Amino acid sequence: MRLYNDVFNEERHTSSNSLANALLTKPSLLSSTITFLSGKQQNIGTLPLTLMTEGVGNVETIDDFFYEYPVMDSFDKTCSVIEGPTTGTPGIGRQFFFLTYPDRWFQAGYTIVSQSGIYATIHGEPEQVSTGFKYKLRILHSNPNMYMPLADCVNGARFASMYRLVGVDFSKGSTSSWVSPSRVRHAVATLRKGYAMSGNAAVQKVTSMELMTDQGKIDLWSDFEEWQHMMKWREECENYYTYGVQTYDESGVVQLKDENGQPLLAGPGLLEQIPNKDTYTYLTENKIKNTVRNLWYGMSDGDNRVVTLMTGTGGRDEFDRAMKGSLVADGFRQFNDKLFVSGSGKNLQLSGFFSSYQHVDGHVVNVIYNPAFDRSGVARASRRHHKTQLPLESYRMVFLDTSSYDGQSNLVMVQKRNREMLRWAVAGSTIPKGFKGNDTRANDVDGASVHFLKVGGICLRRFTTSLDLTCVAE
Amino acid sequence: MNKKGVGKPPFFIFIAYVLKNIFIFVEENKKNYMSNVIVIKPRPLLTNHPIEIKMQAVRSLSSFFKGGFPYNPLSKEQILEWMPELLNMEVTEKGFRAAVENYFIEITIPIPFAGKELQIGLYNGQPINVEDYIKYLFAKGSKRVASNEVAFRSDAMYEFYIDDPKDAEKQRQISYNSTLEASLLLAELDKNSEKAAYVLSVLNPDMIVHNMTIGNIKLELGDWVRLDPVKFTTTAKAHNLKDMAFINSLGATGIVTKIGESYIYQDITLGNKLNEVVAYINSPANSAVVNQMKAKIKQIEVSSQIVNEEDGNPEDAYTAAPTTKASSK
Repeated sequence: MRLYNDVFNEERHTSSNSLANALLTKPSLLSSTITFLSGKQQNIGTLPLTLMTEGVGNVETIDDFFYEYPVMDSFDKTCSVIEGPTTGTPGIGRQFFFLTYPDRWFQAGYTIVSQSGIYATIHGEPEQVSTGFKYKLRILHSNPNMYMPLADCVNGARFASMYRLVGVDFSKGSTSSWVSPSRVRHAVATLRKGYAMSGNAAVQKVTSMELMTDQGKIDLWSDFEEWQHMMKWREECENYYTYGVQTYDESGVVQLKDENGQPLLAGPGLLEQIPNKDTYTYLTENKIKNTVRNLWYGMSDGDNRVVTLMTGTGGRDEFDRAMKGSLVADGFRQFNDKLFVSGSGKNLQLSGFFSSYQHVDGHVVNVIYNPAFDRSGVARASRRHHKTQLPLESYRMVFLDTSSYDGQSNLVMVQKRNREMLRWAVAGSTIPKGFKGNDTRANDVDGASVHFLKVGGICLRRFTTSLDLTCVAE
Repeated sequence: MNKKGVGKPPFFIFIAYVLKNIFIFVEENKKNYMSNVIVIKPRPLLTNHPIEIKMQAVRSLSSFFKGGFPYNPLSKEQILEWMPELLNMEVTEKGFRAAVENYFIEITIPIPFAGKELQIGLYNGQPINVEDYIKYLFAKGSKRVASNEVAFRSDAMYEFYIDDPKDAEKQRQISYNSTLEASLLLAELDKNSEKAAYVLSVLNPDMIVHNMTIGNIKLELGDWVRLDPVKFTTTAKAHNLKDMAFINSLGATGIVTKIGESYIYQDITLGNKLNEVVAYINSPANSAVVNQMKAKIKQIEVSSQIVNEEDGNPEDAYTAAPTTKASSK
């Protein structure tokens, strides 16, 4: 075997260059420690969802693949008109008029209010028709010329129930409608990873380099490889927690099967659990203000909430730019108050970056860096931002409600009992490090393999108060 | 006191009042007539959340980059005409341009579960509701928004679609017209079995038409009229129909090999596109090759007739579609 070819030197003298060309020089080894060109790999810092759930004990253990939890919407709801009068001035002169709603949420005798703020009282029980329930209404106003605008009688116009007004004497009781909780059901996914090493590799001698891990320096290749696999395994789990795709349909039926005909069951990842979606190009303070307000507006417990804004490098930059842009737009010009410029004389330093925002409604938005938006597979494959060349994924902003409700964290990891994290080895000629063994082996292969398995997922209980804001280029 | 003099002014005022009201009434009616309310609808969430929860989800159609800039669907003229009123700024005012840019950076159209209604009617060439019309143009320019429900259903990448009742009506009319035209052409082909075979051969390049009865050819064409009347009409009206049918029959019988868009006979490339092959077979310089191919196709047709006769189906053999004529030009 020849490692490299002969080099013929046509020069008539020998120089250091010709020796180098002939690969005859040996460079000095600056350091035996590996320089990580893509950054030193750290485990927990790159796994924010694992850290926010499993890392702080927000874990629920279940006995089945499916889990449920009850949810409840507002006690009050609005009803949209199905059909109503299309001409004239309905209800003028205190005449009766009719509106059809999809259900009979409104009760007889109650006063309802239209989207324009016109009040009407319900007379009698509604009549069931093919399209819904037809209500007999009369305008409630001291002015007999008041009427219901036609815009409030068209399909989709919203009405809400207010109160029941009765006569001073001999009034009769009323009935009421009520709301029951419903249930959300999701599934956990089964994730696996494995690796195999040959018998020789497993007992390989010391490498010529010092291999850095978060466990310290090691010089055995097998240890380093095992550490890499463990880290990749945790990263793959994190990928699923963030970007996981639900594999079952609305009724819970799984159509996807593996090669053995077994259903590929997986619940949605965090992003898929968030139903509110929006896009942006350049972030503005106004956009953040409106976004946060819309999330919490009208909620009975929606005061002074702390919202975690998970984002990447691009998003963090945009957030800072939006805050400073707002200051400039509002006429703030002061920069020498040590907030943005520190030092003195020739040693000035521009600093001061925004990482938090207090909303006029009392909520606080805290920016948290999520490395997944910069380094995950999705980020690496993502289109680039035309100005910064950062992945567009790096600009993703997830307004995540990480509050606790009734003592329970809103974001939890759900795991199947006794399947939280399984790690086992199939020993052949060798037994992987950390596993007990004897002379009896599982197979005849000159080597061994190690396997990981986890059955779990992430659950965002109250998903209506989170929002996924992405930077989109078409 | 002149009584007539006293009576005249109120009469004219009355007439003017009546005319003014008639004018207003007519104008309002025109506006109503021009009204066109469309609805932008979202793709339903496929999660198994309760319907009440799904109804609360709001997916917004907001600013996006196109060509490196936040997308602005308006022309310069439209900006000058519509934006001053919308921004409450004069065109000449300092910061007008920045305000327009900011409008499209901050534009947000929340699309609730039931959809977002927009008034896009035009009156005297101007939008009845400027803001809604701009939002409509903005939505129309996004790749995430399908122009109609049919396109939306056929492509899972779309997140929203525009439900335009007038557009649906227009589509129905277009569909009716194309079906009518295709039906009339089909009636013509019913009397011209030779051309009918050519048309089917071009519509179905892989079909060996000369093995089919004329009855079957007509039934196949009937299906085409029903399923894709536009393609049927375009094909039936093609001026080089006979040549294309010949080329397709060469391909269907394996005499010519098609690799990608190229047609290859033995080691001769007839052309890299269909129109190049048409030019090749019409060139007198290539008549020897063309005659050779015609002879081969004739041979295949004769042998298939014999097979049909041996199968005891002489009707098929003698009423076979006259693609033979197509190839014996």
